[in-house]
Amino acid sequence: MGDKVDEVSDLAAAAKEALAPAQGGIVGRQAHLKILLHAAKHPWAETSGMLIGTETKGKISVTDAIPFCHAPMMAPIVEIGTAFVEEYCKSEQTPEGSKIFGWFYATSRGNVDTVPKPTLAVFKKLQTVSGTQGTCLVRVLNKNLSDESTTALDIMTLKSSGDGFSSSSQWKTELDNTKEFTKLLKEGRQDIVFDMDDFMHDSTSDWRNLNLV
Amino acid sequence: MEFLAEKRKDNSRDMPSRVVETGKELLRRRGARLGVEQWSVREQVFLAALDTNELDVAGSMLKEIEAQFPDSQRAGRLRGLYLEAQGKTKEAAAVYDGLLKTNEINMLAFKRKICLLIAAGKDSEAVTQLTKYLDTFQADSEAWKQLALLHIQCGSFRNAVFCLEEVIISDPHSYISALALADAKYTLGGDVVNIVDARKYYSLSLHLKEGAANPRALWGMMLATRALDEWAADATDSTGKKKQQPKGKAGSDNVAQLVQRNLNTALNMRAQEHIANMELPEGMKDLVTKVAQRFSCKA
Repeated sequence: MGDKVDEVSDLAAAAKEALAPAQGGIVGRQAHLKILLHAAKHPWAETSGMLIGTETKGKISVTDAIPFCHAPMMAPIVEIGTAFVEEYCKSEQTPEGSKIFGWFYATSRGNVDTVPKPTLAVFKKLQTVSGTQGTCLVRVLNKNLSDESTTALDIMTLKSSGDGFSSSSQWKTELDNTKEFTKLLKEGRQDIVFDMDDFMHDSTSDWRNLNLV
Repeated sequence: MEFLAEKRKDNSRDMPSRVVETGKELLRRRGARLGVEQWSVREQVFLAALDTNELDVAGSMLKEIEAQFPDSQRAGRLRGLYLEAQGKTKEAAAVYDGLLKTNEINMLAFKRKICLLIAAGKDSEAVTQLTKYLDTFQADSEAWKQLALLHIQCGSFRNAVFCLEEVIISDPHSYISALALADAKYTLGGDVVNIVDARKYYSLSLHLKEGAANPRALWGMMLATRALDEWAADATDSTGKKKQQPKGKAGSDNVAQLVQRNLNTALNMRAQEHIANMELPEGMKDLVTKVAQRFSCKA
């Protein structure tokens, strides 16, 4: 009887853990660098893309960033790109259990803090489509890009009221500075980042950016 | 030199670091022997150096240009850009105001003032000023494109469609303009008429630039035809009886006429064939096949 009670308790605990909202996570090195390199390739444009990763016991590990746009973001590129990312996550090319965990963007303007309306719309749709409580929005902090001691990223989650974002203390980055980014920039690595816009223009452009960083 | 000429021809701002490096080397080795072309190269290196934040390089290029063309409005605009790059927006605005005082139809100065508003995040004011600009300079398709971009950023797709229609009027042979309008129509959605229009403009884009050379139009065509197929399927139930359409949308008879389901399916399949034959990076074929299947018509 005691064993059965323990078994039920274990099952209940496991169920509770599975149903609980994800408790933040970490943006990995590869994702971090790809976000910044994508922005660096198109400094005059707004850039954006999707974040994918895995979840273990409520903690999310964002393992990769898939760049989408450096042109005005409209529904076709987002729909087609999302379909590609979903299939990519199911394939053997990504770690098992990979899912979509958020969106990243960088504005072309250094002093605009509000999240663009199309970005907000895409993010809310991602939350309903991916069914993930822990979806995050990562923003490049343009003002911090020249300071190597910072991460130059702001990781935000949607407020419970649903009408804005706030920086999340439950999210961290694997890298705590942008020294490696500076090194890659000096090597010109940003010139070989490809996004979905590039793929839609030239089908040989690889948005997976497999050996970029 | 061909690399720099190509970038100037396309009016491209890609790879600014390489433009600066190549341009500086070219000017160092050949300088005055380039003849009048040296000034286009200096201007190009100046603009690229602003993008890479090499303000010392930009400054030296500007100094040479201003020495050669002391009263030039074009050089004045570059001075304004240099001040903007240094964050001196008030001084830059004063330069542009000076240029407009000398020549009130200086389009470039007018547009730079609007750019100052955009850079400051004053999008509503930028829309107002750009609309005012276009009241005078209606044929400026670049300005229409910028206004469309501002509307897209604000989520005003109806206004963006209006602007992109103006772009296509001024450049009906541009497959990119047709593509942008198709994307905007699809994004606007809401009514089957917009998706049918999207399909039309994807067709136009493919007519202007065919098949695998225009992947975006192929994928867009698949999206639009798939959406129309679903719409047409929703318009009738399993017995073929017409369903009542939601208020404000085209009636069932109109949907069938607009969608032309057989044509729609044929367009979808044609796009799929082109996509299946596209050259792809290694390991992408399977992903492309699966995504294409998602957007195929059921009929």
